[in-house]
Amino acid sequence: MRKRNNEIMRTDELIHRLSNQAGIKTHAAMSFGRTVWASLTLSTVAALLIVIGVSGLRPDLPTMLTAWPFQFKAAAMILLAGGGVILVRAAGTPGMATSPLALLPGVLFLLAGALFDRSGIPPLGVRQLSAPICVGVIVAAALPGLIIIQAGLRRGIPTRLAAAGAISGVLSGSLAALAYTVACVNDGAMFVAIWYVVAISITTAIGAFTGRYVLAW
Amino acid sequence: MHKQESTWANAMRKERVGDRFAYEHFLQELAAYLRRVIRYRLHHAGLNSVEAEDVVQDVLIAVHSRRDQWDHGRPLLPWLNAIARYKIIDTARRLRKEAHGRVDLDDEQWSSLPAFNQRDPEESGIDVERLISELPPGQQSVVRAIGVNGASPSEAATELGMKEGAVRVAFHRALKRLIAATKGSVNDA
Repeated sequence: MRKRNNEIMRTDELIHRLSNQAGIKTHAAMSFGRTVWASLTLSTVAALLIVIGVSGLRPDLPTMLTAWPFQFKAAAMILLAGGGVILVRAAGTPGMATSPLALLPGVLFLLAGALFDRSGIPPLGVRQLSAPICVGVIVAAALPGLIIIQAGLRRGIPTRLAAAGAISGVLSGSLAALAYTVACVNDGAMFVAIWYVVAISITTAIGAFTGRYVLAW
Repeated sequence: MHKQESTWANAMRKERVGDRFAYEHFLQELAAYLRRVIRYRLHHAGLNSVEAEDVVQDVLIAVHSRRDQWDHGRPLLPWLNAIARYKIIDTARRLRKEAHGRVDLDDEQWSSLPAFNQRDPEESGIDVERLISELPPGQQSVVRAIGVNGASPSEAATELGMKEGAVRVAFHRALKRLIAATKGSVNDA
């Protein structure tokens, strides 16, 4: 019989202690799945408050709600956010296969819109500062959501921290961009495809950076 | 490993209803599996067997503390492997950082080391040169470069054609050996 080292014997003792806890029910307040949905709801609400507080609703919102430019923006952001939710669930579940293809529907939709954009609105927007304001407000509106979603991810078991952080940036960014559609007066698909994506890329990068620290366990 | 998946998954399910013998058996098998994986993966990171066992224990604790979060409808092995992978990388990074820090001694700590005590090398009866020459060649050149010639770890790395991390690890190990050797010499004298 092979002699067991001291350190292996300590592991044996650890295993014995752990097995004494077999069957103990841990009282998880909320499952990870429900936590994700709660996080995204809170993130959207927070983003809306910031968008309305900083930019205000667009004056023609009631009429625009039924117009294609608004619906295009909202649909694109919903598609991206939907992909983000799938990816966040996978990021918090060890061993769950995840693929950036979940974002493809949203990306393709944006691309198609941009390619067939007949609005004539220049890529830099209707006003001089349209682009930086759009990017700035979306990123600012996404920050509380980023914190909320990363806090929610800690309820799961994130095993690839930078990737999980980046994914939380994608989700919080697309939810903030969705919120921004109620304020955004730039109705060109090309503008949206460029600048909303720029903003979401920024929140993705921020998320990847903070994820390494916030998601560690 | 179809059989391992079903055996282990059964044990995890039995744990939820309080079967501590099935669970303990599973943990033992998991520990043996982890030990092989970790020794293979961290061999080049220079971890000794005590540190490797620390990683095994970290993974066991991680699996145990999250055991209620495994979805019984999903395969267990990918779940275990993902957690193990995370903890292995995390613990290895922490151990490397600790070794990294330990190499940077300040002047006071330097002079307190018996082997490098400049004040009375004759009286202590310790032949520093002899002890250094008894080190393995890699550690020898690192100790001479840093300890005797006073090079910084990055200078030594350039001089010896090694990576700075490898220099620090080698220096740390050489110090341990020298300190152990000098303690032995002091006791003999």
